[in-house]
Amino acid sequence: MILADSSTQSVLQVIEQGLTTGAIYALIATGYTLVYGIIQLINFAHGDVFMWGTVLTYFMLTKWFKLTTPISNPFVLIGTVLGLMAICMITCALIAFTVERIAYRPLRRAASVAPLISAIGASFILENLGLFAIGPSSLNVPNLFPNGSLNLGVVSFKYIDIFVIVLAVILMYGLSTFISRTKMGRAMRSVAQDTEAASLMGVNINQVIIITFLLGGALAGAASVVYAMRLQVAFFLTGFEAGLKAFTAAVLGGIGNLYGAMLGGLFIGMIEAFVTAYVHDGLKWADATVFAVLVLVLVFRPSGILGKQAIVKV
Amino acid sequence: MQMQVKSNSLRRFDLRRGIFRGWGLGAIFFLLFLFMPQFFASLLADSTVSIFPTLDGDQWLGILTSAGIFILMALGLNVVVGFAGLLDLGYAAFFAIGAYAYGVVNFGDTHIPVWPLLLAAPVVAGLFGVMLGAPTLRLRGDYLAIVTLGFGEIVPIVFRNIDRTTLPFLGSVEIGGVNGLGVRSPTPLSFPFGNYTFELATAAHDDVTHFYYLVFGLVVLATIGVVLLRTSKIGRAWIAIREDETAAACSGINLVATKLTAFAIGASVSGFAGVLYGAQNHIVSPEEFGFTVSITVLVMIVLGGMGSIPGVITGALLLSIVNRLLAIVPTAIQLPSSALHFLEAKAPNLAEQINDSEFLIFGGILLLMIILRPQGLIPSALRKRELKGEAVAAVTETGEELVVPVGAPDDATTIESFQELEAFESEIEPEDSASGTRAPLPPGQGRAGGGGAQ
Repeated sequence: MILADSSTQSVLQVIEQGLTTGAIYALIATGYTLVYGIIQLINFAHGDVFMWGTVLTYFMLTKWFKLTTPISNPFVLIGTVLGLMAICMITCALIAFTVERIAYRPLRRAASVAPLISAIGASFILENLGLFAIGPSSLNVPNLFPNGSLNLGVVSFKYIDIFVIVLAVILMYGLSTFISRTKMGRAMRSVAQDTEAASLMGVNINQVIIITFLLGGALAGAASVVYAMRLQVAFFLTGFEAGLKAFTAAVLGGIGNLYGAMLGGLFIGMIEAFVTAYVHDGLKWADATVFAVLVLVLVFRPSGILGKQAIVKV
Repeated sequence: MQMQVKSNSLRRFDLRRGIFRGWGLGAIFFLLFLFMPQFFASLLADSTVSIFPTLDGDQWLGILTSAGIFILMALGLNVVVGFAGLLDLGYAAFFAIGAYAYGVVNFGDTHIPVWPLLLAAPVVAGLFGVMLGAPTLRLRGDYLAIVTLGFGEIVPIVFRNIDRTTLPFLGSVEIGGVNGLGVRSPTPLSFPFGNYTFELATAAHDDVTHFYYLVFGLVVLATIGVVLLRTSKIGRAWIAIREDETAAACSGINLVATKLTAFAIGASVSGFAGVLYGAQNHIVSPEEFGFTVSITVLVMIVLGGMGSIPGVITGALLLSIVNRLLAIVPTAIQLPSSALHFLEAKAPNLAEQINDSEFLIFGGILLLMIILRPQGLIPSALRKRELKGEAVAAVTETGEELVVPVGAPDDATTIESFQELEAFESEIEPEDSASGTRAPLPPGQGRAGGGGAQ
């Protein structure tokens, strides 16, 4: 999935790969962790919302706006990409909102495994609508960024990678500011702590949940544009694969913890990059390694790196 | 303010009576499927009758045989999800392990008697189940789902990436990598018995009927086994854990051992089904055991009714037949040529799209069932009561959760505030909640009389 040809890569170059992939995973993982923090639900359809972002990117670039060649003027380039991103963010946020409305809200009070099963149902529907939209094979998405890179001597950054990292930092900073400074952010934190108490204090729970889903969807939408351009593919199963990895990232960092999701995303990106670069036949084993990490983390430290041990009250 | 109000409808329901439920339905199913080969044979002889012209009797039997394999899987998953309430999303991994266990000894020149394998493969799959389950079963329900999902992803990747490997007892064996293994049919196993010879058959072309009967017999055995399990001590322990883990532990149930048993039984049944699957399809390839298989089986039991044995069997039968028909419908339905031309002009990829729509339909079934009819098409009697009485939960002023299971359907109200809780408590009529009549009591009496569990 990432770059092949490891023989010529230095360690720093591998780290650069891991950083970029990890930044994308972190953006998706945030969506999982926000929703889990608020309503303790594994939003299984989140990865497929992300997949719809990549599909939309494909349609915008090749069918609607017909932008198939790299843009060399940096201002035009960044403006275009940000424009595409805005469309994808809005669309993905709306998809996430719809999923919440149809699949999760009726089951808000239902017990045990019901919401998770409904989430899987929603995920399958989104995934297979994607199959209808683009067919069973992976399609080629053009990359608007020029193929050059910024050479710093020991390590070189591809232009798109720089963009991804800067974008992730800005979005994450924006999100954490939103959550820690604004009134809505405070409402979100209070709901995450104690839903009943928050509602007694006058917090509109439904509104908070909707905002959470919109935020998660928008971040996935932003990530999807750069993901599609960087790997140059749109594929209906992307949502499942990338989604599961991002979920792993969220769990690794401590699900429900925003900074945990960022940290976990970087961690997973690094693991993937290092396995691909240094293990024999690493490309074939990268996914399995990430899933093995998922299993191991859940077995030995289910609360993740930054997570708190949950105390179950009877 | 710790209290529990138990509805008498739950108490009145005796699990042991459940063993006699559904015998009539079972007998009908049994006879129907017992004579299915004869039915198809007569259908074939009478050439004027044709439902799907492109399918002959053998192919129909093949479809029913694979439906039987899925019924086995669904019965096994039902033990894990329906009885014990553990969501297992990596169920196909055990299926794969069973199929590969069959595959590696039936490939190329290896000459190992395969019938013992029908016993060995479930043991191997069960061991993997224990290995995965032992450390993970103390996790919360949705974490367990994700761990099993991760495991379910890893297993096919491992099979895909390995071409050959060395196993204990078997030495170096072929795994097949991306291409999988082409598998020989098992040689028939015959028992001489007086003047007769009983043959346990293979899935070779001329032996479709025998293989059908083999699977049919195993499904009957598995059904009886699961019915007995449900009403046994461990079965009741599973249901207790599903309902309330803490209460079950307090009643002296060993949580880990009980859950692990459910998990291992589910895994073995899946491994068993995997052996049959490998034998029927003559190929074992990593692509056939992905997440979609796990979900297919989950859809089957959700559709039929989690925890309900007749429901699960019906769901599995229905969906696996629909599943196979979706794959062949475009070629099987004979439309008038004008209609065909019209369709070809309007939707050139129709055949592919019908084929592709399978999981869209499955996703839709999952979503609709869980929202509109969570108890399934044929719900188990107990489950039905619980689901109707659920959602009556509130928080008392000390922060403890107060759960009030109420049997009567019209009592399925949701309490939003403390004032409502007070009002609700005063409404609880201790003995008549099932009949739906309510006699308002002064606050306090409802507590004292409500089931006596103080």
